[in-house]
Amino acid sequence: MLGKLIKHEFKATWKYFVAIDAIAIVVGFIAAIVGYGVAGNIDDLPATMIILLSLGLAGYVFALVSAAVLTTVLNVVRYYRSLYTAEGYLTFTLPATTTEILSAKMLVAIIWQFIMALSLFISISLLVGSFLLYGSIHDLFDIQEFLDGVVYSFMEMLGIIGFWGTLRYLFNVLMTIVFNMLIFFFAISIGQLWQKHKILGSIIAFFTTRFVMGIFGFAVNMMSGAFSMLYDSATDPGKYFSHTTIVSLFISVVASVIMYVASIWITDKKLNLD
Amino acid sequence: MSKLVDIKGLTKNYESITALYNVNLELESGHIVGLLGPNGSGKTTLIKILCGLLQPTSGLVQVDGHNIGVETKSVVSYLPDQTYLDGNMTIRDIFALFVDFYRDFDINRAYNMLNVLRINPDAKLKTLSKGNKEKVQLILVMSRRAKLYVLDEPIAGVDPAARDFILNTIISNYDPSATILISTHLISDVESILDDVIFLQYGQIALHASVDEIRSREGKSVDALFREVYRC
Repeated sequence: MLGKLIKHEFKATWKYFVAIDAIAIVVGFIAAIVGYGVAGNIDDLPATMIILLSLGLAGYVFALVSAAVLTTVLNVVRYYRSLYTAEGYLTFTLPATTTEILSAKMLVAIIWQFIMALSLFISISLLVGSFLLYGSIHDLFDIQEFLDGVVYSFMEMLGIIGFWGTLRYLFNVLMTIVFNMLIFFFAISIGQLWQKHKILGSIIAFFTTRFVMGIFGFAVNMMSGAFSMLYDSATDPGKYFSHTTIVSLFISVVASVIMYVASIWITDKKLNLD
Repeated sequence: MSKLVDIKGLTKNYESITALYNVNLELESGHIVGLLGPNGSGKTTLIKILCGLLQPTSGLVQVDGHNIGVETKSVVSYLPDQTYLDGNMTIRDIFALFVDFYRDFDINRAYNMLNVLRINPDAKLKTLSKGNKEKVQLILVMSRRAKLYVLDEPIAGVDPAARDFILNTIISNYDPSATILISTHLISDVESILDDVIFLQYGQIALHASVDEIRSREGKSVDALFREVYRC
């Protein structure tokens, strides 16, 4: 039954998300072409052109941020609407368990968020890549030297070194997405406990959960000695980042499991579709 | 006759309001039952509990020998009192969804009914008129070979012609081994198709009897009795 639920969830949502992801990549592609075209003669461009390019860049950033925000909003609205409004009359009368129903919705939403993150990465990579390509073709700099220098240092700082390092980083990104989405889903479930003003209840639950998680994360980082490492960060920033990443990952996993179980339990035991 | 619905000591509270209080009810297979009562009497609450959309405060609710859950949802076909489908879906998509989830959904029957109404299966639900939306929802519900059909106000808010279509659809697709529970306050329109009636008043069952029994015992129609019982 879970497979069927996932299939129909994808079927109901793919058009919107694929369109948004495609736009994010297309604007990156356009930005890359423009970037490649102006990379060599940026000093010779007239002031109006510079202003236009600056506006274009701001528009590009705005488009990416909007795409990311819109994806999250659509996912959250879809989750709420299909479960806790009149559409829930169909959803919760399907012969499936609450765990299956909520898991399918959550999983599909998280997959779309992950694909969005991937689309942003591709879009930005296209733009950055166009400058690298231009520099390489016109012998402005050695691309290998650039990758080995700046890019490697940056990746080393984030811990993206080697197969396991990369895998751990990707898992961390995934868990960040899972954690952030589960806060929304958990807050929506909490909101259902309100007899009236359920949306307001969800909003309050969301900010309260965020606040508690923030305090908890800070406390755990402090207790684990992360902040004493910060003093050494000038000499060894990688150690600090690596430590906080592992702590954050641990918190994300534990909190996500708790919020997942709680969301299902609340919906299963307290569902009241008025 | 087997016991299809078994409710014992059912109570449902909404904060300080008691919507249902100590309801005891048994329904057998093979009946068309009218769930009657004025607004706020607890009809929709009872229906939603039967369908697993509301959690009872206390009491036991079983359908076909099971507590409300996956087993009961696969044998209960529910028509809510409002549009409950995603307006962006086409009718064809909705039929596909029902085929996937309900083994008892007869897609040929569904398309036949749709053809009679001359509704385009590729139309999105949001493009249909209110009456046609109601009809499509009824087609979905009545195209299942369910054991229990639960119809919440199926004829409210539609014109007389649509009302006739809805009642004809219910009758012509009725499997005599199944039970239909119809909630309504338009009693005169449905009285002719009912076997039994349940009067709900202040969240309790005021009367549960067969239509024939009421006519012979009270010497009046269900509609007349209803007006008498619920006189303001």
